[in-house]
Amino acid sequence: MILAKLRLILRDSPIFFLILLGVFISVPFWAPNLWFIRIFIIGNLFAVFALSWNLLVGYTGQISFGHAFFFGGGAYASVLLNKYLAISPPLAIFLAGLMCGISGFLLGYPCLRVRGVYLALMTWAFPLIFIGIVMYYGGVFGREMGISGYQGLSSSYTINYYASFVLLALVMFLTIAIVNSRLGLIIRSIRDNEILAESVGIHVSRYKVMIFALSGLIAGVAGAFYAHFLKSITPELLAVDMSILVIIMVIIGGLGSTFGPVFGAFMVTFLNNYLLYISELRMMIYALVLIAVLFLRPQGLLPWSPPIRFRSVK
Amino acid sequence: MTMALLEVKDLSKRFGGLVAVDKVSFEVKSGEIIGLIGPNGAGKTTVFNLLTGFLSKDQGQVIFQGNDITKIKPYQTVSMGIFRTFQLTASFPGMTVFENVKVATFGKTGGLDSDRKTKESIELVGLQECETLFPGQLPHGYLKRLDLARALATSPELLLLDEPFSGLSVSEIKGLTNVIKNLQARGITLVVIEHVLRELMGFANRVIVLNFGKKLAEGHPEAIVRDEKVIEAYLGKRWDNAA
Amino acid sequence: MEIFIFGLTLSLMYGLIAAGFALILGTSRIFDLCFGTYYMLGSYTYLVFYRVFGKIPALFVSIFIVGILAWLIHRILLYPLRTRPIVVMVVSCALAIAIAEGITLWFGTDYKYIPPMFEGSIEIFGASVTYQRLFAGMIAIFTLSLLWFYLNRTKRGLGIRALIQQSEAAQLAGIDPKNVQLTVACIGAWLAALSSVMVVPVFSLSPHIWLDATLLSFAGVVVGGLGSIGGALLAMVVIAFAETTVSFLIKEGGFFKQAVYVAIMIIVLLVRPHGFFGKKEEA
Repeated sequence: MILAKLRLILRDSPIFFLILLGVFISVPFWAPNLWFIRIFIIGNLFAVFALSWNLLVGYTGQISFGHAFFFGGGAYASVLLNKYLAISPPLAIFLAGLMCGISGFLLGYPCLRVRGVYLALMTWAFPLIFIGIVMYYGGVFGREMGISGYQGLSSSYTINYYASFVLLALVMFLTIAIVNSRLGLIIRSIRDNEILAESVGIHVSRYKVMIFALSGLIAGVAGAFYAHFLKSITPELLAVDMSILVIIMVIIGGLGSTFGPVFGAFMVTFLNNYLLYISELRMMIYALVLIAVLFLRPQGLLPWSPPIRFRSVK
Repeated sequence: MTMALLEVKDLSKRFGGLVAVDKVSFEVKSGEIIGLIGPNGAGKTTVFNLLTGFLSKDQGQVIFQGNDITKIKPYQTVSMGIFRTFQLTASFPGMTVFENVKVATFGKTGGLDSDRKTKESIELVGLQECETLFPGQLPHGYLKRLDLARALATSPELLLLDEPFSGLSVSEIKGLTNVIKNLQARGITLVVIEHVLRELMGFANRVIVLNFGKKLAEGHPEAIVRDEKVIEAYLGKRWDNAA
Repeated sequence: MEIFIFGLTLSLMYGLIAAGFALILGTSRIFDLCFGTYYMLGSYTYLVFYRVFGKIPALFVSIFIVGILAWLIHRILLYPLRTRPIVVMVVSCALAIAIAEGITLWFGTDYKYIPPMFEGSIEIFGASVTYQRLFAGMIAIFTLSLLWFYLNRTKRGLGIRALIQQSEAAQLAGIDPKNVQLTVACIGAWLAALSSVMVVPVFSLSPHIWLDATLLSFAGVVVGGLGSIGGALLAMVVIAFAETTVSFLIKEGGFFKQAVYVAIMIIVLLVRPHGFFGKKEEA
């Protein structure tokens, strides 16, 4: 009862959103220190990453267990473009995103042939191959040490912040626009019942691959941005930890909504930074929160998340 | 002699050692209602699957409106003007009734016309009050109507209905029959797979009987009913008690 | 020649792991990504206890402890979530990472040395093989035979096989899936722990081997087919030989180990999604 009321208030109250917006826009002004801004920047970027996963999984039903491939891949691509080809960071980020989009397009095709758990397995494998390459060609990729000594986007935290905020806003608008459009209806139908969608004339494979590519592109941009902000990257960005992390973010926040993944991303980012003292047990905390959410409120923590659940067997 | 809307020649499909469909040939003329009947396992749904590209054909040719559509893919059938329903009701559970139908309009109609077409189709089957509900909230009979609304939204010329009456009450069946006759009046051609023979025989122009994948007989309902081979195929089942 | 011997022993050792995983998967469709964790913990507990209890008792202690852990994880988390396989994967993965983190915290990330149970080596056909490898292989054969015996000749085993093949019919016949599933989880974990203590001394121990082990098991099951233990074993032979060959032929091929499993898995997934001996259709 209370929950339903809360839902109504939040959804129908633009004031809440305006306040939220105001808070976010003015972060650099009221932040107590640079560290705080940094958390928000990372939060923004992870939110974009989460939205990319949400777009793929929440709307076409294709489970990606290896999204770190795009995030980390985008990071490496952009860094290498900048370091060895002297391409400026903004352009490098853009190109990295493009490259990830194209990879998403190419990888999307083999992924059409597998479903459910098998798809999860297959996508799990992608980042591993990339890691293998990173380790083998250590000279270029820097092995476990990673790469550093390349340009950042800007030395000013404020600029970085607004850039990341704009990115997040853009991706959120994009997501909302897609979901409420014809395209949104089409991909939701694919998620709900692929065979039926096919039989009403929807070219399912084309859309699946399209969204796979788009999701990869967005994740790639987020990863590239992240790389240029941190000024150093390691293969950790490609690890299964990263893939699982984005899944956890979205599940906690609520799969299928637009604000859910953003909320989840920020929650994880805050936990990440304020648990510094128990930093080695981060995943344990995430796992606990994840389990709590799954058992108590599977649709995610946000009050107005739509009723999307993972496909049930039986 | 009007050209047939649909010509099927020597359609065949086997699954390993089992011959599901064996050199089935028939014609459907524009504006007809064809009944496709036969005992369970005779291959009727398989024929539908083959016609619409859900299954690959081992052999055979399918010509629709003069075009060879033998190699068609499922999502292309709609733009050609063919739509098929499934035996078990299918729907998009995460979308409202209105959205369920609207998706189906994307194959042919675009932009603003979509909404208009969607409303039209929903009204034709009488689901106006349920537009904002989800399929999970609808009773079975209504889900069947949703199937039909979706079918209509694709502006089909040829409608392939797979057991539309299954699970419906007597009055619902009568209602659906009226809708079907209505569709024929609007120029849509139909092929209907059914087991509720009494009803089917009432509105079908011609009936094709399948058994063990082969075409057993073809003709007007009255003739089919008296055909010895058909009676034998249904062994022990008299057609007028088959409902 | 070395390749042959090493490949053979490796397949046996891997076979043990895969059999355990295939068993769990076949009976309940639960993709327990913690499987690699059982493997990893098997060795770590052995490391902790072998000085206290002696080598062989420590082996049994580790197996026992890991079994209990698996039982707990399945009972509390995975069994209740069994209707949503993707969720199971996510949760077990998160848990596995969490546990690995814990182990890192306690032991550090450096490669630890585990003393083999059997010291020394022997020459066979010109290849130098350590006793550890040899005995690992033999113990693998012994255990697998034991497993075969259990599955095919005992009442319980029959129940397990029935559940794998026809879940609903088996339940109708009075077989309790929950009971079986938990039992199988234990057995699987035992196999993992056992093979861990046998195999790890040959290589080296660090927290992240859980990933390798899990990946390996997956590859085995995917190639061999869901629900088929024999298939998984055969798959392991192929994979083991592939890995041995690669590491012998390519310098620093160690990094490519994972890539090899992964590549094989992907190819099979594309060409024959149900594996070569898969019995059931995936939903």
